[in-house]
Amino acid sequence: MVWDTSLLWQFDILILLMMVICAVAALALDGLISSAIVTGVYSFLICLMWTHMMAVDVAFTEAAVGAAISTVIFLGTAQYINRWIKADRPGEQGIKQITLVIAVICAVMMLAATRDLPDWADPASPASTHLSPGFIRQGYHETATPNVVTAVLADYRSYDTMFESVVVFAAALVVMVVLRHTSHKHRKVLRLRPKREGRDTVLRGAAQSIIPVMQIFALYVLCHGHYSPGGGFQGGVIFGASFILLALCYNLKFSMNRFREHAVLWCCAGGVLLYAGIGAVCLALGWNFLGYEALARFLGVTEVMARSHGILAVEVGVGITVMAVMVSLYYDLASGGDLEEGL
Amino acid sequence: MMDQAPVLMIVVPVFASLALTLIGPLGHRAAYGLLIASLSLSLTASLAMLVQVVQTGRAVHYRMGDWMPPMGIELVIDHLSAGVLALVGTCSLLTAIYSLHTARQDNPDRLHHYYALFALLVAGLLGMTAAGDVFNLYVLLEISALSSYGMLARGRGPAYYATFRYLVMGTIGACFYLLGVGYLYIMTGSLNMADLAEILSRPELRESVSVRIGFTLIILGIWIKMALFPLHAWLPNAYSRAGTTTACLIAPLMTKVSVYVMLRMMYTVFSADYVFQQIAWSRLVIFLASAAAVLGMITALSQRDLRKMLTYIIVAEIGYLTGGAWLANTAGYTGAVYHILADGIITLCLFMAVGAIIYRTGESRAAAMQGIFQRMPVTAAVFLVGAASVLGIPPTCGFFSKWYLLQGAVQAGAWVFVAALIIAGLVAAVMFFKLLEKAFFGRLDDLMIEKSNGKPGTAALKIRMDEAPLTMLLPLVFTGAALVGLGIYTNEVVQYLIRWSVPSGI
Repeated sequence: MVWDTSLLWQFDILILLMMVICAVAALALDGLISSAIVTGVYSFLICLMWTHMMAVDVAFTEAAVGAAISTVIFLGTAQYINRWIKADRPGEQGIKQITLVIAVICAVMMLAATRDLPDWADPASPASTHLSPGFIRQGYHETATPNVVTAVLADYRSYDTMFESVVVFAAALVVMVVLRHTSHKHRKVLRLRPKREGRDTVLRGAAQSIIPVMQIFALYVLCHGHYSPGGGFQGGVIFGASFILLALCYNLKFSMNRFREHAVLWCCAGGVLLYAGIGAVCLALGWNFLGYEALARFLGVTEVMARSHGILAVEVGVGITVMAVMVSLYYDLASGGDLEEGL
Repeated sequence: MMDQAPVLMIVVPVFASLALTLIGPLGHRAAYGLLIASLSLSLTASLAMLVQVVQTGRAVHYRMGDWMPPMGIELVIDHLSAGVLALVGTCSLLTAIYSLHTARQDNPDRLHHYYALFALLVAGLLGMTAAGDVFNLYVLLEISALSSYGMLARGRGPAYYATFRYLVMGTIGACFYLLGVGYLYIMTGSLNMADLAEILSRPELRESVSVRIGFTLIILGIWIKMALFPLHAWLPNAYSRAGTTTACLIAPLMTKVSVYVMLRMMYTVFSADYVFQQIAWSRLVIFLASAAAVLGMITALSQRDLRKMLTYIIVAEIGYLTGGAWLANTAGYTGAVYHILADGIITLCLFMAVGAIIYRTGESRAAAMQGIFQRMPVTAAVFLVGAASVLGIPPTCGFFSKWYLLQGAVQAGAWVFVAALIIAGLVAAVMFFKLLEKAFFGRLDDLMIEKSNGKPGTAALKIRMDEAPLTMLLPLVFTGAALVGLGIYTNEVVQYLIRWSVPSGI
């Protein structure tokens, strides 16, 4: 089936227009918090764009990471930044103009490339004729995973995905190393530090009813990645978001009593360890790194099914790491690194 | 075990990093030991591959997850990458050994997390060098970049601000690279380097505007990462304000691996034919490279701070490397590849020597060099060898790389580059003679008087031997020996390693 795009071009133009407005607004707005919110809107629009391109997995990730968690992280950071508008010195105006010129040159360059790019959803384009048919034809027979995206992500290119989860882990580590080492004397104290006892009944009630549902949904997304859009990244983000919601509706201490700093750290490293550990087990059994077929003997299933189980196991690893990293980033950023109180 | 060496080399530091994150309670000795052990294993694996590649004369291919490329991801270790892998492995292990005292001084708390980032950075650099897939290279580039941001931000004083600038520039560079890869994927449908090379050599893609723009974006992104003039503004501040260990690890390796990625893109993914016939920028690039070499050295000359001086020398050396890579002849290419190895060790040697001086004197201005031959004779001697390599005095390796680069420049008729090499060499000579004059004839009293706020009483301090600790001295002496050793065995290195990697068509 060829996706007929002709019906929806107005929709495209609308989204594009709104995205441009959001991008300009995010730069032009004075307040950092409003900029952060507008960036969230921008992410959400991109997410619509992905859906329109039928890239539902990407749209799902964008919605969870770009529109939700990134915005929360931006907000957490923005509270520590005092922004003041300096009167432009003569030199700075020049630099801004040069930046504008560079941006325009880049835009012209990229527009020039559209001349010989293949059409949108062109079935004869190299991207849909070179490797994709192979994945679509053999993917299920080789990995027993109906969702081709998951098969490519967690099996054919699982080495990349392992390092993607290492990137996420590294992000948490970097934030920890940078924020938590500041000695207390030189710490930047947050003025008007929000002190909440979590007595707000409406918020508590809402959190109590939403959080369990969120967590179950997160587990469903994680486990159902074989059959539908979803997987470790999205499931992990949703699970992590549930703890962040807990912290927002009660307070940071309450959330940290449920999910302690030390446990978060163990989960951050543990998820990657699970992923890389599975790779190492395959290696120890005489196959190449991440060759899940090696697990067939252990699990007592065929080699194709072993690949399917391997995918699930590494997705769980990714989910644990992503979940813990989201929580860890929030703890550090919301409290400025001292994990006492904030936001 | 031998056929698993390619992946072990990369994964062992990753496991070490995960373990290091969790072993805080065991103390710094355990962290240090674990780091050294994992990096030694990784170095052993990379050296084993170097030997195998040289002996068999064929590239090692490793299929991740037992998938055939281009469906799956492969690691490819050929003559070029084997050399760079050995360089990365050696430099990182030496820095790890060196770090016993300095890392603790710079990281009074959370040393184990710092070491975890150290191991991740090494894994990222090794993975970038061994990657046979353009997207995989991007993922590992992100890992090395992220961990370097974290390590650099732990520096002293205004390190945060400098690191933030580096973060913004580095992210723009990585974005350009990824965009370029996106264009290539749209036009070819593949990410595997060998597969891409095969598809891109088809005549209809040679003329394509999109492929051209993809190439432009990738090369621009890499130039930002390797700090080629005029995109170098982030480097001096970010590197000179870092802690000693961080500077010793990042300064020699990050930019050299980026140069390696540029060579890989120019000659493996695209071809010499495409780069020099279709793109035909070489005149402009050689001009930029010459400007980088001359301006870098002149700015270095004007610096008072020892480490800032060294960072501008890196900017100049990037000019040498880029010029050599774009000369489009065998001598220039040989010079560039040889200089990746040579300059990696030279930079490590100089940064370690200066780090040792800073550790003992607590002073990073050029004044710290005063009377250094009496106080720290070994460090000073190694510093002398490093300086000789930058100047290109035989038998150190710097002479041979300059020789090849000059030869290539003359063959290509690139007289601007010839002039730049000579002028930069002369400026470097002035700079180092100024320093050595201080080191030999400078009066120690001046420094002491300054330190004691002009009180003459303390100036009568006796000049004492105050050499750096053994863990710092051993790696330092090793790099000094390596500089001379690499110089003496130039012929062998070129014959067994570099000659094999010379791409066809130049």
